[in-house]
Amino acid sequence: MASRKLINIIAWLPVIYSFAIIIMPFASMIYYSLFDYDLGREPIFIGPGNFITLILKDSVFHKAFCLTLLYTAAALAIEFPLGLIIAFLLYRISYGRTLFTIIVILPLTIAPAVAGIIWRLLFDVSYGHVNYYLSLIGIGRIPWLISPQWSIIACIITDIWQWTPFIILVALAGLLALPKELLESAYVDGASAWVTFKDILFPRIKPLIAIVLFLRLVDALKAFDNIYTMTGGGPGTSTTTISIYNYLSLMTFYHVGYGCAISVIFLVFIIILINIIIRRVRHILWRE
Amino acid sequence: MVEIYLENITHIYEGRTLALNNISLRIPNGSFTALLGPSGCGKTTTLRIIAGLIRPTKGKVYFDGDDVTYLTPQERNVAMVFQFIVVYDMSVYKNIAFPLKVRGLPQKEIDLRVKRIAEKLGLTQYLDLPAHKLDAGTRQKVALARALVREPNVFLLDEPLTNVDPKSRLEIRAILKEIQRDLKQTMIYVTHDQAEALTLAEKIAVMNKGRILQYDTPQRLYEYPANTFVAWFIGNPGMNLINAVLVEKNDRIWLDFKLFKIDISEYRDIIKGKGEKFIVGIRPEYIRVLKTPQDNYIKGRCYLVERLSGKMRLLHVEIGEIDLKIKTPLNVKEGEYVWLNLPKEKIRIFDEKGDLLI
Repeated sequence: MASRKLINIIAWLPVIYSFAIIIMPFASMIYYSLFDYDLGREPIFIGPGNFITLILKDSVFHKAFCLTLLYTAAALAIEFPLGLIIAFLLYRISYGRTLFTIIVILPLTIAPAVAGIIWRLLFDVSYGHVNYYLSLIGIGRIPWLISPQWSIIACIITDIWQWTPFIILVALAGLLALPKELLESAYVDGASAWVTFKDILFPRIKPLIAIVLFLRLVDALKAFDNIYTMTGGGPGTSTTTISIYNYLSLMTFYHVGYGCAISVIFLVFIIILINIIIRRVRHILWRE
Repeated sequence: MVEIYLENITHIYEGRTLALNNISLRIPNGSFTALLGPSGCGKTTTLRIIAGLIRPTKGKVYFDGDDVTYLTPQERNVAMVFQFIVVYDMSVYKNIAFPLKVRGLPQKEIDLRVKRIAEKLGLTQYLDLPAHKLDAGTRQKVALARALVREPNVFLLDEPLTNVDPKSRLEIRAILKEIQRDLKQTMIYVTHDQAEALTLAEKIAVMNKGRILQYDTPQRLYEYPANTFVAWFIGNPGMNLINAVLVEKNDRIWLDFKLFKIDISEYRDIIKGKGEKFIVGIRPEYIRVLKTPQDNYIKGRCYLVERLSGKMRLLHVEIGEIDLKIKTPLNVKEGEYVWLNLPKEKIRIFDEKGDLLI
């Protein structure tokens, strides 16, 4: 019937749209990664040339890779325990929980780029709030965004500030969804707050936490906005993570072919990582 | 194993809802008490106050004479089993061992007690299995085991069999009776199911709207309900209740039901001064019914017949404006006329407010 045909045609439209918007640029990226192509010049096919350079010779890329892993590991290692503890504390209070929760999740409501700008001001060596408050408790001026060592720490701190609330929110929602009898039973059995959390509540929210861990992991690896607005990758290359390096190669230096190769390597890396993790975490996610 | 005394407990939720209205209750040591009543009557609130999960707005709780009103459940040594089956994410063994481990008992002692309780409840084969993967009946047994293993002062159960399949329900009921008998445990059981209460409990506290109406053995509740609510609530169906007016004539007093009268002259002394209007009650199974007229029998018309289990039937009979329910094996058809007799010794008379007089 006519309407059947019409539906068939219309059904294809989203597919065509996806193809155009997503698949095409994606395919271009893979295509150009095989070329020596700086914007404005003629692309020269070099096959795996870019990749070989990146993996074997580019020390900035190696450093970027390590920085990315360091950033991710440090941020997650602090966000998770901190987030869970605060979520548990919020869970235990009876009055004003909503108010406190709103305050706690405020950092989540601003764009990461904006967070980077805010913290750049806060971390200012001479006039920033951070050094001011530190001086009040006797700690000298830390060269936050000036020193290669401290600048990456500053980036990590910003990430923690912004994303711990995410963990808190999800963990709190998970805890509140648990039946109150569970908590009461633990109370009647005489379990302390810590034991209650560790043995009784936490196992119940493990699937939720696993999912959140997963999301945060991928997000942290890709972190860009806050780092770029805060340090731009500097000083030097001390905060140049893979994302930053990728952006710089493509948008600042216009090494299109090279930049695409970085993207491809990063993509492959994340895909492999995700697969490994899912395999390990499977038994936690699905409580059969 | 303690005696529990609730003294003038009043509880108001969030400054608005009156849950308990000045109740006092003394639960004997080692007894199985049921708190029975319709939803919202305050029975769960009472249980939670005894547990220590709620501190009453007014009043005190005593265990064996000691004031425990401000103590935590841990300190009172109470164990509780909830309607929502609570089982921790660990093996059955670890579940049962949990309260003992929290108290720091030596591993050997824990092992002994856990195995002994598991045996009693038929859980031995499940000990190493993860508790949350078992079926509802078994999980509730684990919760029960976890509560029992502590040898608590009181054992509190809040409608524990509601979410359990019928077969396990019978099993667990039998286990509860056994435990109570063997351990002489003071047990308090909240339920809205009177069949459960009547079979399990030694004494039942019937509650309604935040008050305890009667605290008595099942037999006495059945035969001598303290008021019309208890009379109506207990029994399936409950007691027939009809309004009557007191009439005095020729030195005799009668209860007038418009279409018939009952002579109650022998109760003159009790009835005197208690007003003019009364409520009369008699249980459906005590009304005598015949299909043919007889002296002293009242004529009525059966307008509805319900078949019950076995040969029993529930007849709905109208006598003018009065409606009576009768339980009988007599084969009566809808529309037929029947003749009823209300044996004097089974009649209960309540005053206008609903309290039992005779």
